[in-house]
Amino acid sequence: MSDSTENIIDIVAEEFAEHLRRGGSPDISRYANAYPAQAEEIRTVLESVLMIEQLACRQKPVRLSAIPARSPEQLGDYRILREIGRGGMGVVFEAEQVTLGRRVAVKVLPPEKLIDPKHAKRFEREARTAGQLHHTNIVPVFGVGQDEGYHYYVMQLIDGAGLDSAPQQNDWQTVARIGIQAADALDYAHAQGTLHRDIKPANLLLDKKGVVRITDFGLARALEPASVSQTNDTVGTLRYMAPEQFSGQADARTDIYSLGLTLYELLAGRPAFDGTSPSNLIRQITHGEMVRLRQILPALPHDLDTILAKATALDAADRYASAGDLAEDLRCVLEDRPIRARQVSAAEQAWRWARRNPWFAAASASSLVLLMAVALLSTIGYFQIRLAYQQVDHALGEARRAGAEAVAAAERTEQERRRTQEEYERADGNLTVALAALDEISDKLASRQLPQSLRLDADDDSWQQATGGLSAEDAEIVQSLLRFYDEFAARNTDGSGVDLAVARVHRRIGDIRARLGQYEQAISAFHQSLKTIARLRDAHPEDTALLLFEVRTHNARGAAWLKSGDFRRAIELHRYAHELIASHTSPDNHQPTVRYERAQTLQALVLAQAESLYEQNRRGPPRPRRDAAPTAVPEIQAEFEQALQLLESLLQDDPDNIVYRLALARCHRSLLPFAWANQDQAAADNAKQQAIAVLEQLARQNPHDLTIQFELADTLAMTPPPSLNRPLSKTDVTVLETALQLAENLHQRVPSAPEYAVLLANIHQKLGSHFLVAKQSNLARDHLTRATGVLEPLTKSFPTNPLFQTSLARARWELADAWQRQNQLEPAREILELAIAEYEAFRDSDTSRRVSAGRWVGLYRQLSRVLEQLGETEQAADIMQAADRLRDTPRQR
Amino acid sequence: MVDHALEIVQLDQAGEQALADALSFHASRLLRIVELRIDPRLAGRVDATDVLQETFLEARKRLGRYLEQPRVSLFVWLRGVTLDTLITVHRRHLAQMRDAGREVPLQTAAAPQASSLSMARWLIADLTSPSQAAIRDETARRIEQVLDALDDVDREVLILRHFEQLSNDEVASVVGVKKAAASRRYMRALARFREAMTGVSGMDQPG
Repeated sequence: MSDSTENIIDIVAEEFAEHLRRGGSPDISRYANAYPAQAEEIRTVLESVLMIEQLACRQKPVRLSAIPARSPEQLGDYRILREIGRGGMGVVFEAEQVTLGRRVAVKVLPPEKLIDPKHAKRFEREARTAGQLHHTNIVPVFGVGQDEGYHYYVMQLIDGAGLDSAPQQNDWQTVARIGIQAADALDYAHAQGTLHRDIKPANLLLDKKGVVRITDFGLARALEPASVSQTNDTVGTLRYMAPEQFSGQADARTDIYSLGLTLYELLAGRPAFDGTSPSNLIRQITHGEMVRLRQILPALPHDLDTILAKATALDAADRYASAGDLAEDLRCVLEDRPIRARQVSAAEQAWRWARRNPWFAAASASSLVLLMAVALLSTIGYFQIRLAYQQVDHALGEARRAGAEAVAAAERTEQERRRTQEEYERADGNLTVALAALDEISDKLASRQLPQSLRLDADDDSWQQATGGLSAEDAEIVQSLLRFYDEFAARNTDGSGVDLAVARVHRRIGDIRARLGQYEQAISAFHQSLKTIARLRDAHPEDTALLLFEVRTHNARGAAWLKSGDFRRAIELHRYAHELIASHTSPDNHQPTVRYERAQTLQALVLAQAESLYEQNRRGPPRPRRDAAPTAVPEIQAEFEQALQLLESLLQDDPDNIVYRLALARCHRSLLPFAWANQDQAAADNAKQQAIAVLEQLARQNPHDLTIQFELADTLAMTPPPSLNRPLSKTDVTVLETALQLAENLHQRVPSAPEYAVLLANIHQKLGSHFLVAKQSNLARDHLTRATGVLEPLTKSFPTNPLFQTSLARARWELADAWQRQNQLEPAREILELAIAEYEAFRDSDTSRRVSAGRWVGLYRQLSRVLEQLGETEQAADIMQAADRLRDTPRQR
Repeated sequence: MVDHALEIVQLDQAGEQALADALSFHASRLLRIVELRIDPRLAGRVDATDVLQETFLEARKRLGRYLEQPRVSLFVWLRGVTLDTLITVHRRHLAQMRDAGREVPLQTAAAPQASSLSMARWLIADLTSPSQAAIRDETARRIEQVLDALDDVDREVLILRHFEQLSNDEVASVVGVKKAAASRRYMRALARFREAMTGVSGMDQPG
């Protein structure tokens, strides 16, 4: 209805009919006179309308003859000269202000729009507010008045035309300049507390000098009907309305949005939303169904596309916060400077995306790789800008030193410096966002732990080498992360500015390397991180957060040593970390973070010592490979008690804290290997029961938290490793069966999570081994078959993962054993041959070289024995030879 | 236009209640349409409000599909549902009449035509006094004659604009042409109406 292209007579006719239907007796000549150029035609049309409406409306006949009224020759002080434009909001005349003798533009509003006195009042108020706006790019309003029943307002006469009638602006620079002017004007008006609410091409007047002026400020609001549902009037123009306007909301970002659509249209030569019916338009607008400008204009600068996308974001929160920011970015494009919208928004988007996707491992790797690229780009941008900043700063210093003649140059440089500094600060912000995004991702990767119960069972180093839980895609992501962090670390060689970021990045490198099983590199990365932290700590000795960061990094390094089998160093590091925290904080420091970190350190210390003892005990003297540290038993106990006390006191203050309660469970659990090493069944049972009690309560209170269920199942599954001659106790079997149920549930819920699958397989394996020893071969076969069933797809998904391969081989081996015990030699042979074939395929992959061949030797020997029993002596001898060759193959690292 | 927008947004959010609200908001216009389009033979047998009641039930069924992709404004959509319902009503009742042995052609699926007969009946229904009836009758007859003499396109556009009280946008949407084209058709129809009025009645030029 408000489209200026539509037939004005039709609009008048519609208004006239509406008035009749409301029971009024509208005066035909008033309508005719409002549009002098078409008065005659309007009169004729309205007479016909009146006749038909009489019939249709069941009105009493109204006199058809109209009372002739004066055409608006003069309105107040203004003598009407000629009509210069028209639209849904009225007709614009050129007029002369008699008293001042100047030419002005007078806009006469459609009479029907202001029938209600409340509307008329509001119109006056808005017009007066608009009159107080003084800006180069806003059409000045001189006054507002009412005469002869017409409402009008008076503006400066602009020698130009609305952008709706301007030819298509293919030249993006011109459009950018228009945008800058309009955005500046909006920024000014917004600062004055005035919204436009109806920005569209028709309301931007362009004069011959290229100056843009916004007109009709506040008019949309003034003409807004009191209640939208009472009339068919249009508020603003639908095509350019922001989505929030449909719910009656508008703020500065609403105008920014409409300006964005206007600029879009100027560039594209067609509206951003091209729906032809209101409902279509509303759909498009409220769903943000907009074609990106670059798809229409591939040659458009990428930044300009980004700017317009940000200005027209569906959610107001994603748009520019102020029109000034939009103007600034448009200037940047014109001057070929980096824009604000680009990097931050890209990194932020990725970050938000990562936040929304807790199971992001299931997401495509390519999007994460994309994120890496974004982060990398913004980082490089950061360094480039920083370099420029340093250079300019340097030049400024030089200039100042050079004396008075350089003052002018110095001023110029100073300006440059200020601008560079701004960019530097902006880039710094980008970097922070990018780093935070990556941190979150690497956190998620690092926190996806394999079941602890497997670690204690693994009788070779496959566990340590496992990249378990990392799919091929994950590994690729991790490698990208590493490239990013390495790049960052390499570029930041001068150590200035972002020390903490550097420390964090090295720490991240360490976490990821450790996750990949590359413990040596992890340890060295942690070392790098610690070096930077030391420098920072010298500068800020009182900074507790920094202290705790150092403590955590020492502990991470210790954990890496522990995993690589160096118990002595691990214990040393945890002990050092403990002393560090003890010497820098008073024992009665009640800060929860400090207490928590102390507890974590102590727990790590207890675990390292317990595992050391367990390992020592298992290997038996002389220790073949490992350098286990001698540990005094009372010391472990004391440290364990201390950790326990800390956690319990933390929980007293914050009883529902899941992190503390999980830590408590793990703390109890860390005593398990120690108790096993001491053959202290009572202590082992106690430690396990304590941990399970905590976890069971947690699981009950958080029935949907899979992590807790996983911890519980994992802890339940921690039985002493089965030995060949001693089956598990009845209690242990019952406990394992409970664990089995939990693990089955988890695996069913998230079949793609390898940690759940491997836990389930391991429990089946344990039960299978138990029943094998207990001479219940049928049950054994049942569990072992199910273990292989879970592991088979896992080895296919993770073909290079040694942990999954060895687990599968072990399950097959024992399954073959079960068959063999029942004298079923053929199935045993088939299974063993399959296991060997799988191994040989795996042997050719890179990762296999890092796993000792010991486990595989047993497979060959078993097959050899089976063949012998089958009477295939020759073949049995061949296999035995292969086994010997394998045994002699040195392990590579 | 904006009230359509609001209606659709509300419908999306509030569903059935909003549909009932919207229907009662548009009820008077929809009733006019029913009265205008209903087969004269059913005038005494079917109440327009019953048709509207049935329209509501039908609209409730179709609402989901409409909201998936509202191609037309809510009113135009409701109008369409109303006409469809009216066809069903016609079919049902006229079939009964035919069963009863009366010769009645079955309506096609097209929107029922508004005839001058129904317009006249409508007019008469509102008469209160004989003298008024006389005046009305004379004016109405003239207008009616002229409308009847117009070609189908012209008559339909005038009926949509004035009897159904659709806006130009709505007419465009119903007829399926661009707004400018709908506006041109309307103007042309008005001009022909005017032409015919002066020719047929010799009515005084307005002074």
